[in-house]
Amino acid sequence: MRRAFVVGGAAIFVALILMTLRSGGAHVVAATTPSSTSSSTASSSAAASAHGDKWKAPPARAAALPAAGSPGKVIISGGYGSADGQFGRRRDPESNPEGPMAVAAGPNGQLAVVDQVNRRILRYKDGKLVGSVAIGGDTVQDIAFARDGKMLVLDRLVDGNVQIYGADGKLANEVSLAGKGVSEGGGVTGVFSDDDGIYVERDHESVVRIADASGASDPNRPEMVGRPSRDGRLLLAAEIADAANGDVLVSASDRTSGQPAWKQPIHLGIPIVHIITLDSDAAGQVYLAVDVGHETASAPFTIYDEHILVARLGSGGAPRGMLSIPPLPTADESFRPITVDDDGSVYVMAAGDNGLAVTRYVFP
Amino acid sequence: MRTHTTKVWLLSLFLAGCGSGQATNEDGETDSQDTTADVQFDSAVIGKPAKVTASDGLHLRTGPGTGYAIILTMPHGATVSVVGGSGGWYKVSYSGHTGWCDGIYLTPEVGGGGSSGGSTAVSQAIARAQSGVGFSYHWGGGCWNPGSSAHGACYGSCPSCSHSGTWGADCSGYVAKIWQVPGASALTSCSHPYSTYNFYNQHTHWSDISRSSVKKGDAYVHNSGGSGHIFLYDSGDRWGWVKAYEAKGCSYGIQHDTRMAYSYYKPIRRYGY
Repeated sequence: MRRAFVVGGAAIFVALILMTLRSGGAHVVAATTPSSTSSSTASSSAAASAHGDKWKAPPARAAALPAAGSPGKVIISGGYGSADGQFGRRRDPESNPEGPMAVAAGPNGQLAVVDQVNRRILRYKDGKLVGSVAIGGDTVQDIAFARDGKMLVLDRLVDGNVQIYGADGKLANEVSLAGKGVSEGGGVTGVFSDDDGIYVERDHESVVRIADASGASDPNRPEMVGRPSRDGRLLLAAEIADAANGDVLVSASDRTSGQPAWKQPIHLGIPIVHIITLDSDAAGQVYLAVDVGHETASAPFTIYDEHILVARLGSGGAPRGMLSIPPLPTADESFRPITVDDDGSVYVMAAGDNGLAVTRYVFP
Repeated sequence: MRTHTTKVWLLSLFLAGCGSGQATNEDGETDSQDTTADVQFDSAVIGKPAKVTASDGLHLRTGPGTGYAIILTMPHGATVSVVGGSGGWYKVSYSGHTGWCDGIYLTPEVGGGGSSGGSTAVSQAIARAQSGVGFSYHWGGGCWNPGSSAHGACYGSCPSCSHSGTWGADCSGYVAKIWQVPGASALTSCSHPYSTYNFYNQHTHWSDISRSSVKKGDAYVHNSGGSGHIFLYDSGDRWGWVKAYEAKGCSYGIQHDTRMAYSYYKPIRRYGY
């Protein structure tokens, strides 16, 4: 009965949420060419050098990112609260505003939303709520799926662990973050998995294997540079090369050999606020989402023309289009608001003033 | 045994729970509008220099109150020497004159909390921030005892949350103590002089800065539509995320963590940093 109510109200919530967004769906981004190829290359080279990377940045091809994009489609939405179909939110004048912290795409078209305020993980299939998994605390910030359907839930700040839930939703193990390679839980920037293990990322730079693929703690905790790609073949990394100029450097190394595979400078043509996510699909394509915008020249130095650019890179890092989508609509903190599924669909979780919406965007 | 400590008390705004503002009278001096509480002022400030932070200058008067005659107006950034204090008014020497001024517009240069400027003051601010990590979130609070294992605890959903223990801070109480504004005060001296509304809308001891110039010791503040938060910038990572010191919320306590600084936050810098 309650479910029926939720479904019945979904259209209203979608309308309300969309009204709170600053602009509409994604729009086509015209082919862009770096205004200064040389400066882009120089920035990228400098960044590579700063990190002790022996690679030379390849020529910054006129990354003529093909026009791409399509309007987004809201597939999950709900108001704020603790009932079925609702999402928890904290918001007051003297603490961090937060909505659901993360959205993740799993096998077989699953999506999971971390509704930490309500101490639960909400699971969806084809946009429909199919399950809710109770979690121990209300400070979880990230989630990832293992290929076998296990859910890996990160509480980096309070419990300091990764909770491993089976595909049946039952807690199977908890692995502590503390130990070799992780000096401070607050420095962890994500949880990941591949066929070989479960990892936490440190400072968007390297991952520490904290457990094997079965979920058993790894006492050796080896490190690798980059985060595992969805196809298991690459380790991916990204860094801002020149924020003011809108330059980002994305790199990949071979998962097996550890040898560098490719490196691709991307010129976005607009100043960067921050990178939001680096993800991949089952075909090995890489997706980089970046929050961009201009800053006013005088106080109070507000950001205008803000939007999110999602660049897609194919084999060898070759650019394969870019989407432009609306910025996140409120100050509510989220940790992983954008994710990519096996098929390359991009899901953006936006906490508006009236409710939460997860919108699906597809590269044509 | 008589201690050597001389206590000077600064009557300061206390905005428990925050959201209230402060008004400036026609003399450029602050009228307290809310419940007030004494904020202990470190005795070490006596005989030490302090800086004028009032953007339009600060009146030097013949006595401790706005009813006394104005001797002169000290410009913003002027350095005075503090010779005494009473009820929130400071007796200072400036440019050959000795008189009284409203202490809320002075920033004593004591213990790195003042405008000693540059890396030393910032380093000391970061040290204060680090010493607070692990303590509890305390709505309307702003004190902690470094080294103590009694971190306190927060329960419930703020502002209806409850707190146990002595120590803890909310986001604005935490940053005010780290920045030592409006003046120097011991970490163990519980005070809450500013809210995120003040940090966002006023510039009594800080100014807006551009994102490209943000450096260690600055803060990001947001206040809009009933929501507000402030956190201290420690460093940035390769994604442009911020390693922050923040009193994050009731469930989290005071943290040192990496997070995004959304465009809804604006960076501010304490004078002298």
